[in-house]
Amino acid sequence: MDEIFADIMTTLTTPAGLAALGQVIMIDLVLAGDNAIVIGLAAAGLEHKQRVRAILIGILAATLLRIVFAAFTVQLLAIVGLLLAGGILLLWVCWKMWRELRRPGHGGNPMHASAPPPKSLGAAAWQIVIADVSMSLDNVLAVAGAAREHPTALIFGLGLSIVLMGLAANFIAGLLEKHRWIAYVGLAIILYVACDMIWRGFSEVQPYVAAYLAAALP
Amino acid sequence: MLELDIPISGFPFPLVLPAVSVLLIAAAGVFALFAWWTGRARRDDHVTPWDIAAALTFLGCAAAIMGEVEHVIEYFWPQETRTQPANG
Repeated sequence: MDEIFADIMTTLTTPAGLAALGQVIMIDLVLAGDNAIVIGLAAAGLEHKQRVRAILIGILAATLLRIVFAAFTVQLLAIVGLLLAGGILLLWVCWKMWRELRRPGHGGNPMHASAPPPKSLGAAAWQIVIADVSMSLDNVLAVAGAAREHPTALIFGLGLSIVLMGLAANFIAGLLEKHRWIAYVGLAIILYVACDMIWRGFSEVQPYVAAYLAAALP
Repeated sequence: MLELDIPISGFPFPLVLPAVSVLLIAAAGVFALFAWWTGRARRDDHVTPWDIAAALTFLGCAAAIMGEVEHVIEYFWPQETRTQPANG
């Protein structure tokens, strides 16, 4: 108990602690952005009660994944191709969202006469969790060493990002329901994240593939 | 993504988008507080402060994604350990 209190005091009263806190707050604000857009996109087609549940599932999954991935950062960094796999997974989520946006009920092609079944909570939750896996992986690998010596700052940052993700995702889902065309902008942003991950992942894998091909081909 | 390293009036370039993102999200918070304080309905045919808060949140999230978190992290590292993008 004394150690926890001492760490809180160190974080709040020393320049190094305050710098770590500022760093974690800014990083967590930045990291919550992509999760908030994906959760908002996936939850936008749901009715109010289900939307709240989907957002809760999304922020819980993102938080748990960040903690788990942070605990195994060293092992994860050793796996070649993880970023590429995450990017491809996120690209698949983009494709699923694109198809949903193109459905008649979502302002897609009005020529389709038969109304498709409404989006289910399970489908939305699945999309959110897969996207969270990809993006949390990318984010945790990026912030591997940030403020590790200040657990108070890390816990505060995690709490802040949970609150921010929930509020932002709720706002964004509401905005997308009112102005459906903005969902295409959101999808383009997530597509950018996926392509960026694939590009960086491919650059990481390329030397290994080239070495393998050089050894395999006569 | 943004590899340029041009200081804008003394402000390090890699931190521009993350800072814009924080400002937009803070502004969204102000509009949301105003909407909540004045008791405005969330669902309305006209544009409400809630809509403005949501739009600012969306833009803030987009700026955060485009800004790349690696630049923010690196900028907080000691000068000698930084890599190229965050040297600004």
